[in-house]
Amino acid sequence: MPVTLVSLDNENYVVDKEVAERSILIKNMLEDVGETDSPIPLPNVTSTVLKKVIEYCEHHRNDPIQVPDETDDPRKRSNDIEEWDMKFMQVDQEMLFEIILAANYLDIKPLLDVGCKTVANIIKGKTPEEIRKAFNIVNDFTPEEEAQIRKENEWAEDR
Amino acid sequence: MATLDPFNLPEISSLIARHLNKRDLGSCLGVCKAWHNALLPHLWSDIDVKPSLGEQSLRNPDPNILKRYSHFVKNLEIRTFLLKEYVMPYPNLRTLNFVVTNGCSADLLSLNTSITHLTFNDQHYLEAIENQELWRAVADLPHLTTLIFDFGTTISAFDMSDFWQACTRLDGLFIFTSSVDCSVEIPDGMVFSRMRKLVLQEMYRIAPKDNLELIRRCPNLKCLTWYSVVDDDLEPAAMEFVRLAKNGAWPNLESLGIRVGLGDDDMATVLENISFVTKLEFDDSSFGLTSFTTLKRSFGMLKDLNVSNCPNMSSRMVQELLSSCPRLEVFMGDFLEAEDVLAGQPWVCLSIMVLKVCFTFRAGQSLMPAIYERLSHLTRLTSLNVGHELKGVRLSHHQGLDIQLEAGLGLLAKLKHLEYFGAKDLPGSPGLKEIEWMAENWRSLVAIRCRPQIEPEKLSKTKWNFWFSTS
Repeated sequence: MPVTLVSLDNENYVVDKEVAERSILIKNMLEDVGETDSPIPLPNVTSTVLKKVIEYCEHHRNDPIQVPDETDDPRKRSNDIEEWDMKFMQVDQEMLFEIILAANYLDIKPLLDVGCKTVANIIKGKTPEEIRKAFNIVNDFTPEEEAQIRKENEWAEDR
Repeated sequence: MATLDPFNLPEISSLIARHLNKRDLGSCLGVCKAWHNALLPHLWSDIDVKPSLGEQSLRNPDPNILKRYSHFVKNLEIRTFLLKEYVMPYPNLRTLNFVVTNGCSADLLSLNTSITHLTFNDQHYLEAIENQELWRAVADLPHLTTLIFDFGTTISAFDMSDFWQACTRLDGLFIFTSSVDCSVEIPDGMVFSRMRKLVLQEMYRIAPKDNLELIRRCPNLKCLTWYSVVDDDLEPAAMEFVRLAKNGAWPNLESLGIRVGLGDDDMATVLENISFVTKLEFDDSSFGLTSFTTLKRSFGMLKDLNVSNCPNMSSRMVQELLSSCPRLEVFMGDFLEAEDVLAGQPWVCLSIMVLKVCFTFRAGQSLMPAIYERLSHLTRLTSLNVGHELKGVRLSHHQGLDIQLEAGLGLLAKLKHLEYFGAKDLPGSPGLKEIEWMAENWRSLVAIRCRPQIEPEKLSKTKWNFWFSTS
């Protein structure tokens, strides 16, 4: 049975129930209302982002339910991203952040994880200035604050 | 920008922080105020105080700055002789790991009553008097649930009453290869009713009967590991263990690892008195048909079974396990004959992540593709070891699985999560073509164990993104 999703800017998207239910939020909503063909409003997601999210859910429609990666051992945590996901995540910084926020709101854990890993991979090995450039962030520290922060974090450079 | 920044949501910033090391976290703190606020707790949550030797030494956090952020610290590791400056309250401290203890250690414990997990990793022998203070401080920790003695620790004290007092509050006690250098008599009438997990792995200078006495006083155990050092008194203690199990001493037990020289029948008696089993570590044991038959009623629940180096375990039993235990995640065994696999039921252990078993072929290579086909369905595998690991038994030509694309290796392309592949001492070891195929298809691979048919020079010159062990 298909489900209609409505974005913030009132675009309608008709997707298979199985695809929509990759989102735990939507899955719970559907369970609560039972069989229905009334559209589901998603007032936090714009159509450009929703289109992207649906593309992800379509591709991963048959994935097994993810075993949460609860390990606290950083060496055991994999930063590997599947090839398809990596290409999927090659978007500008603004879109990347929007996908992460949408995945969080819609409760699509694997997409949220891939988004966060992508952000972490961009950060790795960069200086604060390079990170600002990569994410288009304005430096709002005074030079004194910057010096203070550098001093406080000195020890972290060795680890 | 500000409203869009995922770092404004604490649950998202902690997901990102999980993938960053301290150095990268430090850089992020210097990016902007929003990131600084979001990530500051993550930089300070895990602190280790390392030895500082010479100029090249690693810097430790300045104690004065640490004081300001001490409420962020959740996990603390002391790897050097503790300096007074680091002895302070860390209001949210959960785990403390001592690699080295000294006179300050007890003070650190007394100031940090929030600790739930305490580990000693101490390889230095300490004066008993200091330990006495230490044990008193441990006994006074009101929230302590887990106490771990890692390899090489010496447990010593004039009297152990503080230690046992601390144990009454624990739900987990782990002792790995440690010396116990004191009298271990448990006070009369003391019972460790909260204890759920107990690991006694080779405690030196302590008699097996004293091991057993501790186990006996933990009636609500869910998980027990008992690897005794070999001792003349082991057999009577082991027999007493079987007798206690028969009388229902541990009704909640579901995970058991035991190396005390029990026979097949004795193991069966123990298993008979456990309502169901999720994990068994019976490697290097006489585990055989009788205990296997008793285990059958747990097949639906069994997650983890280690029966490596068990000469009484037959190939047919291995095949029956793989085709009867749908929840199996870890299986370690010795041999499985291809004929038995193909004559038996299909495997149901589709969530298996660790598989160690050497496939053997009586009738030559023709069955290899069929075995590779069976393995190709186990797509959750992170570790696959088909090597020949059993000492004293030799495989003749083509008796093991050929690790070659012609034999069917290519069918394993779907094993995307594979991190370890073992193929030790197999007659049909892989060549350059196969190793290149592995590098191409198994992207998560961390290590391979085999002796490939490649000239050593070529092997050393080529850069693989995984670790190679040819031993």
